Amino acid sequence: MTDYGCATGRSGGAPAAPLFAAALAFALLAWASPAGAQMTEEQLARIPAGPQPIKFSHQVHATDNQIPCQYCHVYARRSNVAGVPSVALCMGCHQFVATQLSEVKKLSEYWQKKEPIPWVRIHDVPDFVRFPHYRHVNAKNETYPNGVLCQTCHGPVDTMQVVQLADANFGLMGWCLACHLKIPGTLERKRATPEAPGSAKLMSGLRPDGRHRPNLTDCLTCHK
Amino acid sequence: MGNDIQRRDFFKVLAATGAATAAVAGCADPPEKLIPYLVPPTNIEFVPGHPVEYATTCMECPAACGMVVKTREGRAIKAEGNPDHPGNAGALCVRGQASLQTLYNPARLASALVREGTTWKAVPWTQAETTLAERIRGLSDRRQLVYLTGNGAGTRGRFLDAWLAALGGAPKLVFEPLGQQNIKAANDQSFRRPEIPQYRIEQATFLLNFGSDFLETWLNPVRQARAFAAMHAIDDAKRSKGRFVHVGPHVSLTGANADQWVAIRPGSERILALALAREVLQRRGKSVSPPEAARLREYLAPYTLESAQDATGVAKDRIAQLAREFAGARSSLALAGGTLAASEAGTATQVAVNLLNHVAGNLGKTVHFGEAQQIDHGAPFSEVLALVKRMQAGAVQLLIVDGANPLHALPATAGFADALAKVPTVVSLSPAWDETTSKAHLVLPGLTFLESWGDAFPQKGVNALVQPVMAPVYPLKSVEDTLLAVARAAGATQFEKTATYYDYLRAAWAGVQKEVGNREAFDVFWRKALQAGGVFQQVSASGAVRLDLRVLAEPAPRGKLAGTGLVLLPTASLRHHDGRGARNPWLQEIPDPISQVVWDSWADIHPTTAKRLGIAHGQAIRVKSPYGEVETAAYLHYGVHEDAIAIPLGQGRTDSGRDADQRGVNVMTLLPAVHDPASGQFAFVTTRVSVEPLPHQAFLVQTDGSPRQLGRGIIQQMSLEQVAKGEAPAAGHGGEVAAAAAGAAGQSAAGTVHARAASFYPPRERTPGYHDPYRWGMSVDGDRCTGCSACVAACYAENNIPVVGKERVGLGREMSWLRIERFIEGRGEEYQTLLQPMFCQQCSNAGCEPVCPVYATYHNPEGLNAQVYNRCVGTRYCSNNCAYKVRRFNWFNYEFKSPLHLQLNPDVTVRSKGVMEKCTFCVQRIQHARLKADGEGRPIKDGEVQPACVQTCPTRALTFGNLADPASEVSRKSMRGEEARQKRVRQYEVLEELANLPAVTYQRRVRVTTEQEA
Repeated sequence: MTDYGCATGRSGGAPAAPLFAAALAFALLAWASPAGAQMTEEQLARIPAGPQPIKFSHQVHATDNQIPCQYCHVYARRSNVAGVPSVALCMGCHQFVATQLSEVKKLSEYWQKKEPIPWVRIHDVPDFVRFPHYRHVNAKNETYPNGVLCQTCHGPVDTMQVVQLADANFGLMGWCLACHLKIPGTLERKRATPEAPGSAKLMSGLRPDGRHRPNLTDCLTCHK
Repeated sequence: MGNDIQRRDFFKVLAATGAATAAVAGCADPPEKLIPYLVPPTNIEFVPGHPVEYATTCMECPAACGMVVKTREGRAIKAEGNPDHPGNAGALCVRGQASLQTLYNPARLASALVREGTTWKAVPWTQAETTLAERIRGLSDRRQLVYLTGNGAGTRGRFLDAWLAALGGAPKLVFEPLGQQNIKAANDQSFRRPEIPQYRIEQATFLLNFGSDFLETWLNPVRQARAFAAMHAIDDAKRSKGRFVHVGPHVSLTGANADQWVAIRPGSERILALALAREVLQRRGKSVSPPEAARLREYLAPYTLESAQDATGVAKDRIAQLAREFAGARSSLALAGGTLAASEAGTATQVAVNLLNHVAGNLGKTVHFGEAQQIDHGAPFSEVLALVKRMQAGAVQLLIVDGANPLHALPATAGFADALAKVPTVVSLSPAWDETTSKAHLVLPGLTFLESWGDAFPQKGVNALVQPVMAPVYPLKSVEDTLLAVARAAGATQFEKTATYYDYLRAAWAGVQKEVGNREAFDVFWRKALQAGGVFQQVSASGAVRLDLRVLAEPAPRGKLAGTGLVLLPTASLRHHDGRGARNPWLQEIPDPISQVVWDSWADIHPTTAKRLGIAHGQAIRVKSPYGEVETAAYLHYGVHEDAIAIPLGQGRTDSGRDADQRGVNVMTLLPAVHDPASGQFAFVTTRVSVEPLPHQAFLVQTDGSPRQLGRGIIQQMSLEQVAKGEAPAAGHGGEVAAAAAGAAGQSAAGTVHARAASFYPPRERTPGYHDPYRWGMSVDGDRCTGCSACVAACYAENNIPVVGKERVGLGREMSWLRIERFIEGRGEEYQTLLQPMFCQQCSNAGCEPVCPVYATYHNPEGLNAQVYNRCVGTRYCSNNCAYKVRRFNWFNYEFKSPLHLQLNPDVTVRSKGVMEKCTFCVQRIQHARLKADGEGRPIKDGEVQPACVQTCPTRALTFGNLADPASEVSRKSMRGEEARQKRVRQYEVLEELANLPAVTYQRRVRVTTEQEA
């Protein structure tokens, strides 16, 4: 019998405090360098304003406190989208951590009001493109034996106080293809002609081990 | 190019020139917002971007098919059939597919409303509930509270009973315009079993249908379509198939699928059935005991072939022939039902068919009583009339209407409109505007079935659950929860322990758990039932019934058709059912498969009659009965008796939102309020009407272009004899070309092979890089396709196809990627209707690809004619060069009127103005499967990808898969290899002579003629 999801009887009610996440975060912060945890209002003031509703510094979180990207962007390895952290996830730490800072107070205000934070999108690919984060994060090939690092496309976000595009060409087709063509087999497959010896094998969509050969230049691979 | 300018450079220059005038365009989109979840869902394994599916039950009609609704980020985006459900087994009909537009209908009400004079005022929900409770408390006699509902099945029915009992109201009245009381009454008379038996169509080899539309609305159309395919589709190995004869005054989709149509005078089905019974009894009658046979013979004596010929207008030789076939068939079945068998003698017709099935020995075999269909078909019409009388007499002070629209569905002469005006308080719980709601005083809009809890028991052993698949579109309450709150406010104490209807349902399902013999903890049982869509069990029961000979003493029915003129045949609509589907834009835009008419009503008239009356096709006519008149368009149709005129039900709305209002006419305004006295069921075939041509053409929009194939051989068929001999019939106008080519190649022109004209280029499959390891292709079995159009609705839903409206369809600008083509062959009563799905053929040697100047359409390595929407500049060359007319152009930015836009599939681009679009075998589903396979390091498995059309097909006429894999199901069906050519008896490709080399192959329809049967 097929298993489908099922709704539980009642929904709604106040969201439970994400204590589990908080406990994890504490453990993490205790282990990490203490520098960020002692951030002061003056340090905060030195961070430029930027377009976002809250001055969120990736530098503070990812570098100073060594929080891995996927701790907050939890869906990157499982889904097309990386996932903007939910307010509940932010509050998991910030109901205990740095609560005195003005920007964190803004966060708790959103939480008190039960409103999501209207972040401004910086890294945007067009709606007609299918970009599966998880296929990149989990990539396994000669160039990326352990997956593509976030920084490969997003730039050094982990050291940015304000997230901005590292490359003005981000999300343009040529920019995507520049990397796709570097994946071994792609260019060979594209350039192979029936006449060239041995190229017919290269042009097959399957590798001898039964896995798909990368088909990274076909329009339908990305365009929906 | 000669002058050293490359194509790409040319476009760059072009773009640069354009940039001077449109500097901003294309530079940057306005900044978007990234709105995170406040708290992500924790009750499900939630990953954004991944669908969550909920099993539930379709409530669009009483058949209650199992449904799996796909949701994305909390929005329902696609409905599929539940493969575990024994009724529909994974398929859905066109209405089930379109149920998402019931959920997201723009005519839905967003708040409680109170009438103030001629206007409406939105009021807070609790206030509306209190008002209703006060009105109930204020009743001097609680019996003056009447509850009229459209759905009284399952636990809901018992809940309504309990609610009315708690408040002291009158018993509930279930209103179902297409009732089935005739069958129940006839089976009560014949066998003392007042139930609807299970018709085992799949076991019959000869099916005789007296007018029922069993592939459209009657009983359980999806299940019956599946059974029909099992019975009627050719078995290629055995080279045999069942035979289906349709008897009746009108041919709709069901009749069009028959091997033979016997046109009889309207209302004479009973005589024909009895004459057949008489003949069969003489020939066979083995299942009848001698004394019973004698009694039957005596009863049937007057129904001779001659008398039947006089009554039905069918030549006696043909009747005798039918009787021979029916008696001689290994397994036969006679059916009767639907609106056309529902005359004042409807019950007597059913009794006659029971006798026919009895003498042919079908009872307990193809007519099975043990596993009765428990479809709730409401109260008989006589009870509705009694209610109208009470309302007129002022004996109803408070009327609650829920899920029913009697003002539209009852004949005007029933007097419901006047009676409604006499009720001081009318409360509507309808989720959307309709005629009855617009006359209410208080509206507490309920939720649709996709947002509420419920259950259904359509058949013994099928315990189906309805669960909400998403949060309500509008912040409203389900009807049941509203009623609970009202009961509490009105002072009823019975529901103290029932906080919500959910609790009530769970309590009821504790009983179901006991019934099905489940001993797990209730929560475990409940959770499993929700995940599976219910609890489904095989019920085996003895189907033995005995004929009660007292039925022969029943008085002969009246069954008269008084007056002069043509007999009016109101037909149930495949798309709108009794009218409940009229609000859904898809169901208006998808053409009726037989008439190919959109957004409208029409009147089927026989060409001979039309000539006599001086009426041309498409001409406006006035149809007048003693009870009313309507103005509609004449549709010349061989499939209607010369003495009749057929108009479909359901249109002619006046207050149901912009998609339904002022479309066509309501045929109920022409009918008197009469019913069959034996069963109380409404009698549809009772009236003769005068038809008068008007001096102008009606604005009738049809999508078929030419009704004739003109020798093109688009839909091909062959006889069973030809299949047996293994010889293919001559194809369309490519036949000569093919024969000449075959001759040139030294092959026999009479063979099954259509040699193609020699090509300059090597075939794609031998071009490295192409069709390896996949070439996606499809096989369409024309002998299984019934033309039910479920695939069309599925395609609309999956691919974000816009609805363009009647006027634009009239300009040929409909956007459907998949259409049901309909062609007529022959003339007169022997005419045939051919139906077949047509969609992008994904040609190997496509006409569209080489003419695209911007490379927006190209041949993908996997054999798809890809269409890259953002690359398309809209030259429309591709469409001009497509032989199949399957490309659609966006002439405008089409609107998805709120909240319909919530249904849009996020995996498919919403195309904008100036872009060409087409079918790509649901490439988003292929890519989804590929990413999954990539993650697991394996190729895509056969059957892993199903395009939306394939998934919903009730008869499994479509097979999709990888043609490059000789073991795949589609390869076995398509038989594409050279070595398989001799076996390709039924196979052809549409317009094969053009050498487009489509990836879609069709299997010819197979006709069984009487001679070959013998």
